[in-house]
Amino acid sequence: MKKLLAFLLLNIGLIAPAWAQTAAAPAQNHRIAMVLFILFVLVTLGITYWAARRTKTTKDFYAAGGGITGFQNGLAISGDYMSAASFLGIAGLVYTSGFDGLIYAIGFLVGWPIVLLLIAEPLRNLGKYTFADVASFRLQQKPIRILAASGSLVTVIFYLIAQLVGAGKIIEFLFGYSYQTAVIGVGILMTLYVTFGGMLATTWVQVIKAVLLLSGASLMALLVLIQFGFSFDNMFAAAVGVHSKGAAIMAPLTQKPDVISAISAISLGMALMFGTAGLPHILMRFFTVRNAVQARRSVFYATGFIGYFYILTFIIGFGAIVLLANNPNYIADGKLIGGTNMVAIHLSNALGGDLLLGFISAVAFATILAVVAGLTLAGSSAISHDLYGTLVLKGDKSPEAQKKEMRASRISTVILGIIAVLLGIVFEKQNVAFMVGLAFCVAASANFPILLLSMFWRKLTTRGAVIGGSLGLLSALFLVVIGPTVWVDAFHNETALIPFKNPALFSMSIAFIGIWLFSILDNSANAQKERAAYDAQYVRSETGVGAEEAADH
Amino acid sequence: MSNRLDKIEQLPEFIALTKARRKIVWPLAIISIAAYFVLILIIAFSPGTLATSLTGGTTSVGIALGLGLIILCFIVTGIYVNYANRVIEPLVEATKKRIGELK
Repeated sequence: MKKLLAFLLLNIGLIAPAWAQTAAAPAQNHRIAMVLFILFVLVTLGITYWAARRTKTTKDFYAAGGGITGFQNGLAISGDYMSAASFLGIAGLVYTSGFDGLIYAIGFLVGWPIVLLLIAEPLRNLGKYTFADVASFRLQQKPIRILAASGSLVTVIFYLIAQLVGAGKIIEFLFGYSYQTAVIGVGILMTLYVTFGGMLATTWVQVIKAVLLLSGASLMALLVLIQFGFSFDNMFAAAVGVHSKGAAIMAPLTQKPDVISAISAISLGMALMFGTAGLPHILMRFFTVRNAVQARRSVFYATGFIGYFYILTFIIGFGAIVLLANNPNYIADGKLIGGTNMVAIHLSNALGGDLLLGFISAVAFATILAVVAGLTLAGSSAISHDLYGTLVLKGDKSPEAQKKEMRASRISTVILGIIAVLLGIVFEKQNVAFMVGLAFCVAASANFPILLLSMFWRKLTTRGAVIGGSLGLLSALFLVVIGPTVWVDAFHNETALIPFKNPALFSMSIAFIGIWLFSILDNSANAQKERAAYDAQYVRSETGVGAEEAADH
Repeated sequence: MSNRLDKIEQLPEFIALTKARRKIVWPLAIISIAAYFVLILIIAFSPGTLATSLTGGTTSVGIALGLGLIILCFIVTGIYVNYANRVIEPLVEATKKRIGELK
């Protein structure tokens, strides 16, 4: 822990001169942002120090001891899910295309009722720390855990690269650090939170971030709405009046029906809706609460916070159209300074001057950290709990084995942190926008089908789950590579081999059909045993009887 | 063991519990999925509909439907949580009590 404090002091020592150097550079650097930013880092490192002393067992590390309340977990889930990309990206998208931005935001919300109705309660009743616990409940541990861990790691790594590259660019712009410094700094902080503080520190970083982000966005939306007498119609009218696309922003910009874009839209919709229910860092959060009742409550609050947040970003985007589009302070050569990702940041300055700008910049920073910490924790659990725990420790539950698994989880966090930072630097100049879509696509095509069918379909067998799940995972990756986002944008080929940016419609179908076909064709002795074990799983899934009792705080 | 499981699965409380859950979960899930994909299909095949004015002002049908879908998500989760607290939870408790008596 002394090392931690030493790092903390070192960090401040590094920050202060960097600020002094860049103070004369872009107008985005403000004392207020700096003070709030350092305050956030100090508070979260303090929490990590506090959490580190309470993180002794694997249960503490993966599930914060299992005693988080539904309300706290609801906030933490929203803190885990509402990324800087959705705050800055969706506000930017609404600013450029109005209605289309709203539809994109909705995609990120509609998965939540599904999580509540189908996933949360049985997941909590059946699992311990990861969704692989549930998928392998009555199936063979080894193959299922390897597959589930692969699905988790692919999802986590792509998501993490997308977040880190975005983070590097935002911090570079906001605070004036070099891209590399920003990525390394974020990488060090997230690794510290997770390695020392585990799920407890991650949870509280996410809770604080959610409160900050929701308050900041609420204040901005309020300041926007005041200007229009709290009338949406007045706001829309003013926006249509100044936007270069005029009234077209009130509806889909493409007004020509065509089949390819219809299939693309459905496919993206499926990735977003069902991918949400297969994100390992989100699923993991359900094991931090005591029981299924608290799991249910968590999603109820999370859905409320996330939906409310997207309404706020929508208002912020429209407010920005009116306040920024013709304002020479924010526009250079007909374009927004810093790109459309800076819409929310510029608007905060227009609404509340340096004070609000500083606050919102610090909030964007907190947002990035909370999301990457959750992802890192989920990735390291897949390695230590699912891979190391099954392959090396072979399911040994003795205290010595627990200690080994605990050490493995810390080592894997550090390794994952280093890999993520290196990849973040490698991908600096690449277009990484497709990576979040890819993460959702893999989650929808591998994690979600395996999880759903293992809980609700008696006839599922190990063979079916492994073959179908692998087909889903591989087809998702393959179809993204030959699609426009990688084949054309990244590899610079003339035309893509398939015209669909998000192939979830196909890869999800392949996964479900594969799992179904290879399960019903499986009549091995093993398959019979696995089907017979469904009843015991069903009773536990419905009642929680047999589920491990979570620790009291 | 399997004998005991059979007994649990035949408990009237357990049967009522699974029935009550099925009755609420699948209809609400289908409503959520259908509402979202219907909106996507309208965007794809009849985008003009969404551009029409809602009540004569600037607010379009599309914006109203979009915001309506967010509100639908609140309503769906609200209905389920309310139902779960009123109906499902007592049945879970009753089933657990009966399972305890089986021992």
